Amino acid sequence: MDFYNLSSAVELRRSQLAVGSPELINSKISMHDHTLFSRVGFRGRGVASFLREQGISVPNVPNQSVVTAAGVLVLRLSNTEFWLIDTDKSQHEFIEALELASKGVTNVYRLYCQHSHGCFLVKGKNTPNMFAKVCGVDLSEKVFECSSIAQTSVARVNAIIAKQVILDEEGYFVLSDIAGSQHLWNAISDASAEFN
Amino acid sequence: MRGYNRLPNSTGLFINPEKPVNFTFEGKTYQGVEGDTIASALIANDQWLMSRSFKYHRPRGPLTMAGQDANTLVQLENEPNVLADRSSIVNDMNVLGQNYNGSLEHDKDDKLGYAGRFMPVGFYYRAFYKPKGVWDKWEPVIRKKAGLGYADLSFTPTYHDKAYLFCDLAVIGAGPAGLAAALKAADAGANVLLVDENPIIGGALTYHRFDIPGKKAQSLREELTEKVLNHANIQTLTNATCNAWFADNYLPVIQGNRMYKVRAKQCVIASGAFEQHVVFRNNDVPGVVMSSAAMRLMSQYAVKPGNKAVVLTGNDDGYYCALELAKNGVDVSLIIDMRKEGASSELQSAVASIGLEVRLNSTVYEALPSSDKKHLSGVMVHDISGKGSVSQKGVKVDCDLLCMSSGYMPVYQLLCQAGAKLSYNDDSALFSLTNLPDNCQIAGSVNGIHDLDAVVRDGELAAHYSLLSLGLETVEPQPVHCKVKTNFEWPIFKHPKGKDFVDFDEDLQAKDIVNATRLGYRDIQLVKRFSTVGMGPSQGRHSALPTARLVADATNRTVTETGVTTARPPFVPEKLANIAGRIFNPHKYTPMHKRHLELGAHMIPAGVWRRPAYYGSPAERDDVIQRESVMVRNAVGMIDVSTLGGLEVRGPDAAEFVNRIYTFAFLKQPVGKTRYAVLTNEQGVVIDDGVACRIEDDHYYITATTSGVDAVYREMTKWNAQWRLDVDIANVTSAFSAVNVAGPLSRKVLEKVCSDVDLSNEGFPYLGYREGTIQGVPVRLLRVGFVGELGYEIHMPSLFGETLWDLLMEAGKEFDMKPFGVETQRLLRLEKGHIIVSQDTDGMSHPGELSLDWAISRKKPFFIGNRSVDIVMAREQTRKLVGFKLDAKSSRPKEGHIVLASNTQVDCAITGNVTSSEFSTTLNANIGMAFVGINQQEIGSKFPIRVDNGELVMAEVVPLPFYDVDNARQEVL
Repeated sequence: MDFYNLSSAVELRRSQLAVGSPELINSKISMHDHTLFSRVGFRGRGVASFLREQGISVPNVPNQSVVTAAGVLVLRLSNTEFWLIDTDKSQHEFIEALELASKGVTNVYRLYCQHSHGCFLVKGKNTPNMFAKVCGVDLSEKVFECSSIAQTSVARVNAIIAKQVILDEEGYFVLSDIAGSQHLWNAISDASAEFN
Repeated sequence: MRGYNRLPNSTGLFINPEKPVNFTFEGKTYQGVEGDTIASALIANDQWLMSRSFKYHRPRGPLTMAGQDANTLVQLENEPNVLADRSSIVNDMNVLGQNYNGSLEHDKDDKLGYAGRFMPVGFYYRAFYKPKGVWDKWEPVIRKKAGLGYADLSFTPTYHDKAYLFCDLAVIGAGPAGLAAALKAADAGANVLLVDENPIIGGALTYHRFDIPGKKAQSLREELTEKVLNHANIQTLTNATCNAWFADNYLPVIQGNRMYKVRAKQCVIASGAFEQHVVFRNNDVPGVVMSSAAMRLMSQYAVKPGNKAVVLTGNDDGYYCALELAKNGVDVSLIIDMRKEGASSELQSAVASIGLEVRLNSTVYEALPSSDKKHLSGVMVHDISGKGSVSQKGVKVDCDLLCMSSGYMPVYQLLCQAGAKLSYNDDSALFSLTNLPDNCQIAGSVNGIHDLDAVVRDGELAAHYSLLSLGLETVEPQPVHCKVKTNFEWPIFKHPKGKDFVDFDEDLQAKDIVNATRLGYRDIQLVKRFSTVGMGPSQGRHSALPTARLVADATNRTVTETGVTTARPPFVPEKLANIAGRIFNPHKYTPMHKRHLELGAHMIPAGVWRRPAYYGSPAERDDVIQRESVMVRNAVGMIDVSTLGGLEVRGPDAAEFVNRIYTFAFLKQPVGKTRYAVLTNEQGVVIDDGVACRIEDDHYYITATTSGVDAVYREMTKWNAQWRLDVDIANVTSAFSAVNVAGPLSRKVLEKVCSDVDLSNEGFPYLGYREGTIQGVPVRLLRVGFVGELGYEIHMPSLFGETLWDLLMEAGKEFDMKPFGVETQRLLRLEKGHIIVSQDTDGMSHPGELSLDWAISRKKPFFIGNRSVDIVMAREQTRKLVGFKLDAKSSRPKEGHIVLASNTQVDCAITGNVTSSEFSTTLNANIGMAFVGINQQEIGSKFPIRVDNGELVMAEVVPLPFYDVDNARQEVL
């Protein structure tokens, strides 16, 4: 059968969030819904070399991330699992090309993170304090350094938290089951309220 | 200043005298100031009576002014048992007393004190159990009298939450030891969390006097406070209580409506010490307080605690208290020192220099209440003639305030929870705590150190050991020694008339403890349970030590041998709201959720998902379901099946893997075809089912039940950890949304939106799998027949779910297609005789009793549970899942109703239960599935079902499916 292109029909994607103002919680913490931004994931023993062959630098160890010059966030979630995320909605073609290039590559299995996970970007000085209300991992400034990834539970749902500097500003990408994204959005909004 | 008992020359560390606060107590309006507790504001207004005691309804006032006793429990409008000496006043607060009959001032039950002789220790254990049945008569009376306060059941819950806090070092207690420890650790680079229950840090430095001039505490507090509050490495939590110590320094700290879950690498517990009372007659009369309570009132709240005071002490601290009282204008009539030798010469000179009289080797033998019994009017002072005994004659001293200080008990609770051993030195009457875990240190008065300079050094020493464990540089301070003796050996003076209270919470007198030992309860734990000593709100803060002493004395043992009672979490009462916090209830929505709501769906939970049960009002449930089912049977309908589990198995060994996991044969499954997949566990029980689609030779897409997919995924990954097959397994449940377009017109709907797939019966036959696009969106198409009609499951990446729902609904308009819900689907599949795993199966269901033999491959060497399946199916069978039918007018059985072996024998066996049941318009009958006895399965036979109200209905066993036996409906051309 033909390769099933998960990156196609980008204009027909719709977020599942039903929020009045999806871009801002308050003056101290902002949260942006990046669910519709392009991303792709790969798993397998051949992924690291596949990505390098595509000219992409990858973190040397799991639970670390790097940002490419073009603004693609590369997460290494395990020795063999990598996710690539377009951080400013400008890299769709690159992501799609990468997905298509993986077809037939031995030990490279495409993952479905574009559609399986919601993606939020949370920013603001009090973000670690906010996370302390919903997450059991210490995400404070000194402990959770930039480029770190925590695969943990947030408000009782599994989530990946990646801290990275995007456009000179530090932020936390939160990726979690897309079906529970409304719950997570509400929980983070609620936890952020006191920092206004 | 608000309240006429305010000190003119003191501002009070906790209060803001510029901000008045009005509140009521027992209906009368009082004025305090911001920062006042209820108790301090009331005492400022000369209102000492705040509660009635639990058993004898004796008048009670504050004892400690630190929330360490039950004497100040009051009732707020929507909260009982609030500590008046810990709870701050706010404007318009209404406060009431508790546990009285009539009014607080005139409690009709105060006469119970006269009946004390008829209520000896443990009387309720011995009084109400015979004759048989008498308890039933007593219980309502006792229950009415028992308990404190009332709960407002109309109370609107308030917002409570939790937060994690991480630190290198948690210091519990911000007294001089805690402050010194925090500073030393923070200076060395540690990230420190400092926790204290008071509104400002300083601990004893905020009220205690440590030297004759009375300057040392203030200067040290100001110095340490400034450093701590300005230190970048120290986070301070005030008004916060560390309520327990759990393994690895997991510390629940409650601050207001929030519980912090503190994770500390190291912990220093500098929790201080509880001042202890003296046991003598009427030691509970309002106006009899701890010395520290009087000093707290003066220093923290600028309240003058009395006009004419007597100090009863067994250590030097009583003298300091007397000096402080005199400084604040209180007439100190007498210092009664229980010791023979008295205080140091410097202290003796200091009190003498201001004209204070000291009487050595003496004690208060009885406190004398005023005529209305609500306040102290004087004390009877006797010479001490021996251990616990006094001279016959005493002298009366008039006073309205008695300050007691017999010594200190370490605040050992958290430390003992950490595993520390509490020991008592019978010679020095001092406690020590040893055997602490490596990640926990002790400092200050809880460590038996009372000299202020030594306390500070002890804090630094504890920080030093913590820093060593943290791997941070540190210089070891000098060893700490303290020769200050604080505890008087035997501050217990039993009175023949009693009311010499050991435990104020439970009105337990000295004789009660002794009598408990005489009744055979020699062990301290048994004494506790028999007498209830230490079981009240203050949890033995003051009763533990005198109880241990009395039990030791009565049983000819030492306190070391007797021990003290256990101190379990929580340290102070905590609200269930604090434990619950902000509850997170994760739930999942499908991409079409908004559309379902717009269409008026009645949503129901399906595991963590929300699914439409049907589209209409619950009041019209049955009609709506029948309408929706008729629509599917006669035309076309669409259901959101996005909650179906989805799993992908890819790799060279994919077919082998699927073949081992599921019962059917999959090695030769053609690409482009689907196959029913049943999963059994190692016990041979059916635990899930789904459809396996072979996309490529090395690629399977498999559906699973909504509630079972996560477990199936875990099973798959677990098994492959052993098998090491070359596959990748992915749970893609949320990545794909799906709808099922079902009904004779379903192909026509699909043809309108999907042009790149041959949808003809030949091109896309039943059980086929195809991939195509709908307006450019890639979709997976499964030709299925779950509801018994021509149907297509359309699986699409989730971000397109709503878009494709809209497209399909638009395409279906021409055919009057509408959505149908999960309850309608359950009816339709029931008509078709399809089981739902976990609804029509249970934890014992093997394939044989579910008639799934056909879905098991006997030719392959292995699948999970194959051996067990053979064994359980070879056994003598006891039950069978069958289809049943009842007349439309018959009472309809409900799921769970029991199947009986006989409709005539009253005590017959239960042979099974109904698993599915619904009325079918299509069949004009009540239909269902049920487990029945193995002898009840014959087609055409009848079996009894006990339905609501005990009615028996006779159901007929019928062959499955009920509908479309020849499967012609799903082959519509």
